[in-house]
Amino acid sequence: MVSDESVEKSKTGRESGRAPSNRLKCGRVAELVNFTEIQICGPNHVGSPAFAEALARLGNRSASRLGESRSLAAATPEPVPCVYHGFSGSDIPVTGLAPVVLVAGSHQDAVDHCLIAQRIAGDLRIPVNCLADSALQEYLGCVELPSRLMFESRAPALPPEKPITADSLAPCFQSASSSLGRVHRPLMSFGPETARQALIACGRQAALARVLLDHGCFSAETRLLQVQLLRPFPEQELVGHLQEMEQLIVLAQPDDPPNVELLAMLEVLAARHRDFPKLSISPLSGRPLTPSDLLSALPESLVQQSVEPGIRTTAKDSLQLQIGATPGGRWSRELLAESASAIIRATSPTNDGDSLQIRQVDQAADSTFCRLDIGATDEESNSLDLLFYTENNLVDLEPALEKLKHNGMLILHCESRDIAAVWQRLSAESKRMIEEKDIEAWWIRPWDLLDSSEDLADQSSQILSGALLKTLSAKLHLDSTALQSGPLSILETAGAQAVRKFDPADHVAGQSQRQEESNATTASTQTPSNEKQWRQALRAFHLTGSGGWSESDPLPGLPLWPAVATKLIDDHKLAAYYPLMLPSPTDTTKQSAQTEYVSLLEALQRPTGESDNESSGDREDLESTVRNLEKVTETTPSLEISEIVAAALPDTSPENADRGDPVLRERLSRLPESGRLIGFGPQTLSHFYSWAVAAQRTDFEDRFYGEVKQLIVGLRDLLQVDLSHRESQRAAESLAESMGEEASAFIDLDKLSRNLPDVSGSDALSDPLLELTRESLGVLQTFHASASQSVPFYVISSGEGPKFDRLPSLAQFVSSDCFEAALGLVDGLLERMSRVFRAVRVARLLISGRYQPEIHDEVFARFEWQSCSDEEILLAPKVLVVESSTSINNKQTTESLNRLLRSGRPVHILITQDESGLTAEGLSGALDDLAAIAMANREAFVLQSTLARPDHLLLGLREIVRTVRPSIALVSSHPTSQPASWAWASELLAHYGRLAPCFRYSPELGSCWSDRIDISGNPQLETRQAVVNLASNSLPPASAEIDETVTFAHAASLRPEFRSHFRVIPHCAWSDDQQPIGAYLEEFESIPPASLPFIWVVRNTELSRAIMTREMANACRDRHLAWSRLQELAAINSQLASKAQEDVRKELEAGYQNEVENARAKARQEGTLWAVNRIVEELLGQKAPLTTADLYPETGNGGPFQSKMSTLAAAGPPETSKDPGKAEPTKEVQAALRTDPYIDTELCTSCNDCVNINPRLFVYNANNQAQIGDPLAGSFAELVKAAEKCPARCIHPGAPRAADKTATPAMIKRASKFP
Amino acid sequence: MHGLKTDWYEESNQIVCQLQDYCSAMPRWCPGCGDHAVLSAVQRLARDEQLPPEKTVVVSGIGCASRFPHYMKTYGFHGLHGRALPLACGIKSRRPDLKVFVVTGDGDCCAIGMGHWIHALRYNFDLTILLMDNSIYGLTKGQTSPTTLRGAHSNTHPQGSFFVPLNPISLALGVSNVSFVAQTVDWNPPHVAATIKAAHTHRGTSFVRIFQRCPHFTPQVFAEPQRDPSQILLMDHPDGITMDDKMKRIFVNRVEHDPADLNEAREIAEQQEFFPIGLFYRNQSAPVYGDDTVIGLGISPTEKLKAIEAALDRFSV
Repeated sequence: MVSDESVEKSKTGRESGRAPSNRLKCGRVAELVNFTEIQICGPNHVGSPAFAEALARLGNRSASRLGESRSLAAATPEPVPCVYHGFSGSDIPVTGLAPVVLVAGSHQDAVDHCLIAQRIAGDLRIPVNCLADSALQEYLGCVELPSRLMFESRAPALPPEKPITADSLAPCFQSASSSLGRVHRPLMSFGPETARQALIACGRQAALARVLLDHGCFSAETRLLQVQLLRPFPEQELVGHLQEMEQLIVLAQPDDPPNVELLAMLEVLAARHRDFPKLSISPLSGRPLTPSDLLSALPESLVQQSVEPGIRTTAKDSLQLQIGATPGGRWSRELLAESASAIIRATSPTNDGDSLQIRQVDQAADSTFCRLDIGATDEESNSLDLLFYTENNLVDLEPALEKLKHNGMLILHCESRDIAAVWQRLSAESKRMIEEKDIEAWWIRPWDLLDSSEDLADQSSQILSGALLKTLSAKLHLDSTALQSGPLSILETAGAQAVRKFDPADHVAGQSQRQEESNATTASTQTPSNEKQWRQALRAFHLTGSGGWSESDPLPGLPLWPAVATKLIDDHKLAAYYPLMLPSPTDTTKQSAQTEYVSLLEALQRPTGESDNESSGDREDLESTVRNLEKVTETTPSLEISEIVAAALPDTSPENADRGDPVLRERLSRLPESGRLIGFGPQTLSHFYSWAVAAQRTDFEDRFYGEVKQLIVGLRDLLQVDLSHRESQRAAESLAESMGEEASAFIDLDKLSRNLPDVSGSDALSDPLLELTRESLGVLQTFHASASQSVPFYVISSGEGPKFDRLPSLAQFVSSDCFEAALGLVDGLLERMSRVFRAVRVARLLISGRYQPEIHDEVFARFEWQSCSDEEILLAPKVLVVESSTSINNKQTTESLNRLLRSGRPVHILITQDESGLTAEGLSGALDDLAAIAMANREAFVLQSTLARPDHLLLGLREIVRTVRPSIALVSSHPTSQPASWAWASELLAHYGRLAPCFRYSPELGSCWSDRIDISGNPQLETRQAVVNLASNSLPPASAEIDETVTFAHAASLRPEFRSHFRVIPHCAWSDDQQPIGAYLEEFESIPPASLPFIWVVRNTELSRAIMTREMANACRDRHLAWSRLQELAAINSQLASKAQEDVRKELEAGYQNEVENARAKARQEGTLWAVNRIVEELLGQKAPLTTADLYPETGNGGPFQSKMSTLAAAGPPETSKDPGKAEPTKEVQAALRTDPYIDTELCTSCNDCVNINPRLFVYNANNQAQIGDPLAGSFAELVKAAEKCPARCIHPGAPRAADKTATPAMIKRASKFP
Repeated sequence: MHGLKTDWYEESNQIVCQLQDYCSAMPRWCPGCGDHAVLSAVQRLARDEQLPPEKTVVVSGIGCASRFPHYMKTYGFHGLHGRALPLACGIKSRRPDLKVFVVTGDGDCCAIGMGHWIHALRYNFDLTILLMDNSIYGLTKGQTSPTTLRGAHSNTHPQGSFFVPLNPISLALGVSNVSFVAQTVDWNPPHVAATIKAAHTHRGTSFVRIFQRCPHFTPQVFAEPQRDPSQILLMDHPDGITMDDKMKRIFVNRVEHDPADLNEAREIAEQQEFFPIGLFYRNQSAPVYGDDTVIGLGISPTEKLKAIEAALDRFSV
């Protein structure tokens, strides 16, 4: 931010200057001065003159500094319009940078300041710094702020000459205040207008003082002034406030930079204004302030001694209550309303209705808080009798406790059993307040009481009201016996565990208490004995994830085996995804992509001649064979077929043919010789990719290499021809060389050389062309020579992800930012290839003699790889970035990944996803959705697949190696700690459970999402969940009727790290409130159902239920929602689409109905009119009599339209002249009837007959077929002759022109043969 | 990747051949001769397919039709009587990269060249044979040819020919390894063009017989079918000769004949009622002899010389 040079200058300045004022001694003043000085002396003059003066008084050095402003200007960084966030005690440089500084006192202020700052930064382009106490810093970031980059992209437009003042910022404050609903001004004033003493403070001190003012702790003569805008200082406004004042007290904390600035500003004001009131400073301690700190720091005259701080005079016997509840919106409000009505109901027998009423159940002025006032309390009151808080919101407890009265009551709504842990999580301030205010703390645990038959929210409100009544019964003088049958009954039935009072003193001794609690936990892990205990224990486990009953879950450390895994493996075993046999890439280039992989079992099962039907014995043999092979492939995931045959059959010589496993030998003999066996493992992915690259070789590649070879020959020929034109070739020495040594004995070579003519025929090359020819030849020769040794692809990795062990070391790179490295590498490779393609094009033109320097020189000077065709670009070696999703966790890597995806280079990225977001601790955390990031780049090919679906994966990889776009493959992979079969089952379950849905996103397929996304390959892709019937031979018969929905939980249950989220329960604990996870998710709309979700697992050959935690159920739901979104993108089950369809249908139906109605109405009207007209005509005697059909047109027995039609028909055709002599056409008609001559050109045989007669009348077209050229160029007689002569009879003379004298009657008669 | 194609400069400079680039001299055939229609069709085909003139050869024997190479501005070989096919086979065996048309007549092909004809069909080199059948020796002023109709008068048979005429189609369909047999009439240029195009695209020897009128000696021989198209039977099939529907409508008699059906092809060829036109038979998988004669094509003259020397050395005593 600030250059070293300027810092250096500042240091020297400080050394030369005098020591700062004694009165304001503080550690960081000098640093503050340094940086702020630089700011005010900079070119944009960010500080006000008053501020400069303030600094001068602080450090006494500003005169000299201001004098050097020009030299400093160069070193000062340009202020950027941006919102900075800082808090007291952090880095001062940030404080010093901005010309506008806001200081927040409360968390609400902090949030609001963010919005004000955003407005200032946006409207005025001024950097704003929001400051807050360290306790409030988290609120500063809670509002989305414009990023610094966004502002930098626009021109920073600071007002050039106009200094920024508080007045110029006032509109921003006003507009923000109106939109926030809370007033904010640069200087806030509280207290009576007639006050003689002013208390001025900023930040936290001001907020605390305001609370004290509210509590009536200050005398009536006091007004509090809170400075919100520290820089530029609201000088005029402050002076206006202070005019009538006698004394000004500053509350300041010496370590706090904002306070230091405030003091400096006030000192300046005091010096400037003669009538400035007397300034006294109340220094405060450095630690977090308490109200008593503040009060003790103030002069006694100011503090109202009669009132004890924190206590309001509320009559305790008036049954007035004020209750605050946890921040949390609707639920809290409803809960309070329910509870209040319960209290009213309960108290009405003993109290009159007036004394206890709900005055307000709504969000209080403080928007984060919800409160309930019972009884007619003071409108202005801000203190509470009772506070109700949930465990989740403990962070905000501190400000709420401030509002709680002395001797008030706090009820904590906890979910966890561990009360000690809850106590530990309270802040020190909260604990202190609880102790100081003598607050009675209670805690309630609703789930101890919950009965699964009822709704959770109802239960909670009942419990709360019960708890309220119980705790308040003494305070409200309620008749407890009357309550027993009512709301308190629920508490009675639940026992004392649900609502307990806790004494903070019991929990302060941390370690010993923890021990006690752990003992208690151990006690709770005992196996429940009756049904109710089971219910409670299971619900506790579901909600909290803790608690256990080890006896029923004997192997808590081992992963579970879900029943659906057995079923899926039974189903898929013979479909045999693994082990897998990949045929040799060269054999498969012509096969369709779907059949590119051949399963081993398919190959083995192929019937051999006689034995078409396999007996069960054969099948067993086959499976044992496969198991043998699986063992081999598990240890080494990829083997050549020959290697695996050798491994399975130690000795294949004929004499040992009868030894070993004959079945295995026989089976293996059926395998194709070339190819590769791939087992499931970490190396699999690398083999798939290598195979895809090898199989991608196209005919074009062969043709291209062939052409390069020919072009080399052609260019050499060119050079040879050129050489023959050179003078040197005719020199005597050359001749001697070509003719042999003895030639000189017979021939005078010199003479021959002189007389030898230049070679005739083609010309020599010009010098530039010769150079070009040599250059192209060189490039092509190098390429041709290196083609055979080139590496098919390069791998860049950061050491994570799958390994490519079989590649030469030269083709592998390790880089910390492999995306950036890949960009460089691919550019280099493409540059190299583009030289070759350029040479090929040049060579083609040179050899065919079409190279024209004036056209082509410029073209080839600008030739880049983008000019090449897709097929050519694919010839370049591929660049593959291999990375694991865990490595893409920082901003830099993500940015370079995005840059690579946007680059348009043909680079491949292979990322293994091991669901890093899903750890046992952070199940609720969001998954890093790299696929979404990749798709957001729009132009990249994205493949998400899984090793559990090798067909999908291979197909996708084939597409990737064929595309010239950046392409990314996200492959779900499993940690390798487990055996391959378990890993594979887990992958398959994850695939079924929508954790790793397969899809392809190809920008080439269309312009809308549904065209581009292809989600085929997923099981049951039309539905939200995949359902599997558990009927299987390997499972108990009872499973036949169970339809299990596969979810993420099934995959997770196989993994040890998620084991703690499941508890297997014994049969005796089964109950109706347990629900399969599929049904649970169906019911899960916005709030979770009350039932306990479970999955079916196999335990001791029996089906058992495994209850899961809420966290795990939420994770399942999250994955299902993600899958739904994917479905919508792919236009499957799109809610929007179906709604639109419905709308359109309704609209059309409505329109149709409308039209029908209109038509009917019109017909009725017309029919009536017509009938009336007819009657009138009839009466006048103009028409034939009416018939009934005429009167009832709608019956169909003849209506107005039909009768009109029949009238027309009866009238017949219009009458024509009977006399043929008068039918002679006129001259005009004759002219119109005359046809022009024409030729049926398509039938012309090009025999030249017609063109020989008249080459102007008959001409050939581009196809060499005759057509009429100039009709006026020939006579009618010529046309007729040609028509008669034409062998194809395709000439038609037409009618003669009037002026044509050759058109004799005889000629016309001849012409009539060719109509 | 958008707008102008990246390799425009290469294409803009490509040689594009017009019809004139395939026409050399004004044909000297009689006015009204059917040869004109065939010549025009071949020239248009060459233009449409952009056959490089320097890579195209027209080979002929002796006869009116055999003047064909003179009128094509490509390479040509006006050979000996009946020897067009051996020449063409020779050319094709050493220069498989050339496109070879063989133009022959009924006398040239079906009489003196009969043996070569049968074996050329059997070898199945990639040739296009156009048999221009006008049922007479026209060049030598009207002698009976093998396809002259029985009873037709000619110089050699003033009282009318008493031979039953040869049916070239039946004969061709009887030869082993025959791969393409079609028939057309010269007075329907669209059908001629479509047939020759199909023959050109077929890989193997494609044999096309063209009924052709001689305006001087046999002006009436095809007058009837020309006047009355109902005497013509059009063989129609999606795999056969594809033609404009508008042109097809002229032929009222049509039969759906699958070119893969050899027996039906023979039946149609043998029937006497109609003049059948269209594709009789096509077999894409028949072995092409040209595929086996490419050995040693790329060797240098020195190596060739060496090979000849070695061959001769075997005879040295």
